[in-house]
Amino acid sequence: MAANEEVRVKKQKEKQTMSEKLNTLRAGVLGSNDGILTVVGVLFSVAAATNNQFTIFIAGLSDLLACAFSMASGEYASVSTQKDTEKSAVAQEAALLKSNYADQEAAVQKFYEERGVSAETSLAIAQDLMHKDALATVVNVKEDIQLGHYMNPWNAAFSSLIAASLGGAFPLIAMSLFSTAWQWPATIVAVLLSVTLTGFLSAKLGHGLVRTAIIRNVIVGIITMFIHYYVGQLF
Amino acid sequence: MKKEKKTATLAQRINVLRASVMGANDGILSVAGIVVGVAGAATSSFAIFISGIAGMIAGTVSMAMGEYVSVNAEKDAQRKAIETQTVALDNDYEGEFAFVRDKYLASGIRPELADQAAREMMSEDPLKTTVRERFGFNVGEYTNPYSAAIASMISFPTGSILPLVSITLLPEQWRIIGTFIAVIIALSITGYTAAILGKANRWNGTKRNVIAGILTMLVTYGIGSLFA
Repeated sequence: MAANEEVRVKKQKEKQTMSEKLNTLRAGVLGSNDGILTVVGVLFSVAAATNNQFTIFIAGLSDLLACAFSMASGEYASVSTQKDTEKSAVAQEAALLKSNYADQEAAVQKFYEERGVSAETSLAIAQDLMHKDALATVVNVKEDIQLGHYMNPWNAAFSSLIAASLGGAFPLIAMSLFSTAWQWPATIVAVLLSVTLTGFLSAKLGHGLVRTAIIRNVIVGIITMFIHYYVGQLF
Repeated sequence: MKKEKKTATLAQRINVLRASVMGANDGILSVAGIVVGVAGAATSSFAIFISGIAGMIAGTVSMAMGEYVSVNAEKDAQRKAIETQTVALDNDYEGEFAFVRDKYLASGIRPELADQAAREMMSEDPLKTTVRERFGFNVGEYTNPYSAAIASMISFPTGSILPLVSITLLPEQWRIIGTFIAVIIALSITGYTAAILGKANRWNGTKRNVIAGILTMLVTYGIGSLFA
């Protein structure tokens, strides 16, 4: 009986790190989607404004790189900042544990009470957890931090870079490989296919409605392409 | 009670401010990358300008669309989660109970307490409890994304005006280096401001932002000049 419990608990913990991975994957899919839309946006605006194939290509390529690097550095900054903030929060909570243990315990108790657990049970839980690992409990409950569990900002940046570049590559390659006669339909098809894929993946990873997500993504893709084409025509 | 309300709106305002600064930052960085890259390929001023404008619009539109999609996707997911759990509670209450209890067990709570806590939470509101434990959100609590989204959609094009103007107006021999410098200065301001608003380390925030800008522009310029 105890062995069964152990296995079940272990599976729970594994599930939790799985959901973190799924979250990262989903962020990657959204990053790709961003790449697809910005690059096709630039390609269509520029192509509507000029016939120069080289200009169109270089604008698209620069945008792909700029978008990918900007997204990657945004991720790096955000994850690093989170790391900094968490480290200082942990230090703060450790100090509070020394100066006002009772308040910290009360905070943990309140956390469980807010979830519907009775006052007595909450107190018992608080005392139990604080006895086992006061610092980890307090930072988890008050700041939603997993002690010692820091995301690597380089990983986040790198995956963001790859995701956005992959996304942007679809329309760029379609526009550049096909002759002028076929460029537009080819790029439109490439975009619609790729946003369908990202819609599908993000719905699967985010526990959403797959068909709705795909339809929404396709409509957004069409609107984006329209807006950029007509803006480009103005020039 | 009044003080709590005040701190909530202050936090919201800081959030909107921070979204604005990050939006402007994004605008500066993305468009700077584009115009420096295209200029590195030594194309005409018109080509550089149109690429920059296209980048500005593309970034803003994609940001707006991204927000729209993400808000709706979240709504979908939440609706689906509630449906799934309602059915699950009807069909397999014991299974759902066990999930909640095991999750609390996994967080280090003693078996008797985990069981007791699960019992209390499930008797009070089984749907809210299981949705929260399985999917991580509170039924009935919806965040308002609009103000921050609108803030970023205004600030992105605002930020992108800087590199666009500098690459267009500066004389040809100075335009790339001039844009480079203007962008670095702008990024240090936004980086610093974002760090203050996010209560982060100011030196680190500024440094990371500036390095990101330098790196992006070097890459796009480098690759652009390969095609020159």
